Amino acid sequence: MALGLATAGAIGLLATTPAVGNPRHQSTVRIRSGDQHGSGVIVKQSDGGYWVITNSHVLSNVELHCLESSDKAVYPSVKVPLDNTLEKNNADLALLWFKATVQQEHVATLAEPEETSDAIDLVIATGYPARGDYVERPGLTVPLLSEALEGGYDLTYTSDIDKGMSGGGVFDSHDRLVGINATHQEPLWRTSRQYKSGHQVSETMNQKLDQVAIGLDIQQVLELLKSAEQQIEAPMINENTDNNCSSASEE
Amino acid sequence: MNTPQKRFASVAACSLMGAGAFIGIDSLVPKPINAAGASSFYCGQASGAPATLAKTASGKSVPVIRWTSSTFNSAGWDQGKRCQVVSARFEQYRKQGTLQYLTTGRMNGQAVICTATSKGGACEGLLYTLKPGQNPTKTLADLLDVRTKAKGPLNETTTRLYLKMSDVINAKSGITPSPATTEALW
Repeated sequence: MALGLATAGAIGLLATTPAVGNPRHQSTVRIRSGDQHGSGVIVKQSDGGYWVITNSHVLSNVELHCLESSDKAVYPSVKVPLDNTLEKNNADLALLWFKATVQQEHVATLAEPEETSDAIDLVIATGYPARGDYVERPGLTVPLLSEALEGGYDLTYTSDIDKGMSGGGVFDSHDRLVGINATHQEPLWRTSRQYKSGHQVSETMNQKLDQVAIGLDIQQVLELLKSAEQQIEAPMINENTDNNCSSASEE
Repeated sequence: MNTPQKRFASVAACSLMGAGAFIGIDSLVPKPINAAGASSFYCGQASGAPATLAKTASGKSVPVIRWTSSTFNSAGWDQGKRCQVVSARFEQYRKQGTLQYLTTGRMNGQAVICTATSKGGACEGLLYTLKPGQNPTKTLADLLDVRTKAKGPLNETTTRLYLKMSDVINAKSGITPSPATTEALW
């Protein structure tokens, strides 16, 4: 508890932020994609719609991905097509787009790359566990990697991540998005990991990585957004697309 | 999950945080490290169905496979029995250290998920048999995703969200359907 007490003062500002009007909560959405469940963060508003960042591994091979905002509004969304160079980059990130309505949604403030550091920083991971409501999980960044892992994973931190929080946000103490969740600590069974370069992670490093959540740094989110903006005008939902956010028939 | 008990304990222990505290500060406290670094496996229940569960070093129970198919019932392998036997195999292979080399193969003419003794090695230890028509490569990829990726597929019987696309295209206001009573799988 000593560590908890020591850091309690440092996060006092965050702890007193009410849940209503909490920008972290407001920009984090629940995602249902086929039989998959995950989270995402609203990162941009443009052309009558909003852009949501999440992990590729959250998305099933379906045309429509259903989003649910913090105030329970439901939006069908489409995956933003990206060109081959981005696909080759192989980062575990995907962009979704949904059409804006009268209801305003909150766009997360993105940290500038120079605002992130290699120091041990306080962070708050957000998301929707598959079996529960929205959660926030404080933790510390623990810089372990000098090279990204397969999937582009390069952000290591101590927040307790549950199944369903993939694609959720990692925010700093100023409510700026500094990364995206992807994997939880304590793999359910052991295996080896690879760096993006294809090299094998050493056993010693692998054991350290078993103890932390691993995600993607904001830098990669910004790069993806920049490339997407250059090649894409507003993605549009085709009205002829299977017309609801459910496989079940309605009414 | 941030349980009410956990939150209460956090607030009680860290009175400095004040009445507005809703963040579980205790997640900042390092958890004891399990030198073995792996969960144990057992058959239990998840969302009302038999499920192979992993108990993590920090005490979480995480569903790995939820046994809902009745495909093998006629062969004497109902959901409960498959759960018991496959969970025991998971635990056995974990102890043997062969879970890290999962692969696909065929046994008795059926597609299976199995263990190998080395990377790229031959299919040796049966983990479980796939349903006819089930894609082995995708099933294995999904299973490997379960190991560490923080996603969860939904329960087959989940109440889905109902929404017409035309309502969205022509939306005059935000659509707020009744809250989903989703009981998710992972």
